[in-house]
Amino acid sequence: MCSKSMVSIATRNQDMAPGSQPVLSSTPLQVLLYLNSWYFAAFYLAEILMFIYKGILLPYPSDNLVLDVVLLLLFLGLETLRIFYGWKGNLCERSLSSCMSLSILLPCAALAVYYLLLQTFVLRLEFILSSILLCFYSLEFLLGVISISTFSRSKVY
Amino acid sequence: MSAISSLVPARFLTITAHLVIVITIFWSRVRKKWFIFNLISYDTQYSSSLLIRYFLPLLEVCFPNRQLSPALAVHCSASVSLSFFVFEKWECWTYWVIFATCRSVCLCVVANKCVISQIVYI
Repeated sequence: MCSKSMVSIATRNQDMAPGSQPVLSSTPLQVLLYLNSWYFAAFYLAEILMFIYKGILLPYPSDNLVLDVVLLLLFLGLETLRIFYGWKGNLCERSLSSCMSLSILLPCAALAVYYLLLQTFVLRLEFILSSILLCFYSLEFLLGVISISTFSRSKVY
Repeated sequence: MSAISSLVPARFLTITAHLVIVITIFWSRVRKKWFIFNLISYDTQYSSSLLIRYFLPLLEVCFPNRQLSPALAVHCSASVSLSFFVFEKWECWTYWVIFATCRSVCLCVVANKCVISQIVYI
């Protein structure tokens, strides 16, 4: 038992500064979250402009327009929460915040699929932008699960 | 430091915009075959352009990026001119003019960087 823990500490010691804890935060996940926040800002701006375009040019039923705009507002709130919790959980190495971020990822992915396929009028640009967003989500899901397993394993001594 | 940290998302968003506009153009080509490819036969030009489109950016990514701004400016001008290409319905050969200009400038920058880095390392 003791020798095992010594061995694991020795292997951990190889990639860390002397006298400090090993860094468990995932750099690719952090890069993805950073780029995702910028990408989502651009996506949101493009969505607002496209809704103005569709509302003016296409025969949009008012109920559907209200539904889509309200879902867009909900999307902004959920995505902000998700990125905040994912950022915090990754940097502070907290598995609870990362789990929170992963659980918010599901409604976010559902909303992205809604804007990809199910909304009233899907423009080609919307299709491309939403599919890029879904690529982000799948990569973040994968890396988030890996980082949560890393954080949880490090707590067991 | 703030300028450098804002350069990274700017580059990412510019490359994404370029990708999106290229995908849009290829998509519209699927709908209307005459849109770009009425000059040479369909298959050869399609495959060659896809090859060029996806191989050359890989080449660009493979090289170490010390100077970000020239490539950024080239991507930005390419995406702006391609959006003009879509909206103003330019002739199909202008696509290749835009492509050749931006790609040659970009390759010149990359080659310049390589030569400079070789000289520095020697």
